[in-house]
Amino acid sequence: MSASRCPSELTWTRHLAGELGWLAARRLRAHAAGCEGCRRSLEVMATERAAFAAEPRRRRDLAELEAQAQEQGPAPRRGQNLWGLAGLAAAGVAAAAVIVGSAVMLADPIFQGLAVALMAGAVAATLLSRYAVPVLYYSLARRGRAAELQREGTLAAPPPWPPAGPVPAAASDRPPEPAAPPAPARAS
Amino acid sequence: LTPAAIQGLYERHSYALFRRCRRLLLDADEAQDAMQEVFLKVLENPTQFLGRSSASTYLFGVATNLCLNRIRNRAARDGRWEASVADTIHARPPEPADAAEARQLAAAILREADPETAAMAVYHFVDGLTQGEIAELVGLSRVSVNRRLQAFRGAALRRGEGA
Repeated sequence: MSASRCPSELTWTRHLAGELGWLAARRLRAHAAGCEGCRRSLEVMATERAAFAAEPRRRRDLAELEAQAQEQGPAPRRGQNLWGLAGLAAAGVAAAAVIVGSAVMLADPIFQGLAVALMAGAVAATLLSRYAVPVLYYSLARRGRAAELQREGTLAAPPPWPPAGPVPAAASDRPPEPAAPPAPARAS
Repeated sequence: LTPAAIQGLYERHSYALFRRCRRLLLDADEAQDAMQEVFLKVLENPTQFLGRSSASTYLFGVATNLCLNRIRNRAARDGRWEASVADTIHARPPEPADAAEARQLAAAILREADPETAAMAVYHFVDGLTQGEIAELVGLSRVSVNRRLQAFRGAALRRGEGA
């Protein structure tokens, strides 16, 4: 991207939130170093953000949100309802069709082995997708969620292995903050 | 979402979202309300949020849709919104829109009946996002984003000439 086109405010926001990769972050820092306009809006944003954080209204908003979260109770478990009753019925019907269809072959002395394999395969596939796939999905999704919480700073990073002495909390789970101040913005 | 997770989200993203809302709504108080509404939406539907790779992008999209709803609901102040958006569009270097064209585009965003297209037009003409970024925000392919934006622009300018 040439210097003539400044990154959007969303891009800077993502950069400040640490969501961009190493290469993109380096490019943005280089841009800020060479672009007067972006550097100024980054400064405006940094000052404004500090003022915003100090505003009393903000605490009230957060308190309201937390009250709301508690009312709603724990979030519903994810991954539980991947397969509704309808899905189970559909897979059952499909498996039954394969079994009935290949039953014709059971009478044939040569191909009856194939028929047995088809029937057993239909049953096994149905059971696997009913039980194994949701479990795999759930464990993968949980891993992604843990990474996200770490980025948000609400979950400590896993301790280094092997654990050696007391582990300093926080600080280790985020890449070093870029030297350049935050993002550009056209507003204000 | 535990209260601690909400706290983290709020601290990290509230300012950026407030800015985003203020830019669209042109009003700090209303922007504050809209920003809070974004977090309420996340609370109501945490599963949608949890699968995202980029929290900023997702929240930015939710904020844009909520703000556009608010803008549509307040017909009285539309003149001011249109003028300000036209200025923004006109001021962006890569978009060779002249002032009249920028006004037509701003008016067309307000008139647009389809909320998704209106949001895409805001991303492109007001925020200057790349088509890749827009595609990620609205969950369409880059090609369809491009096609929809061309169609939007064509319709906006045709209608402007007819008027």
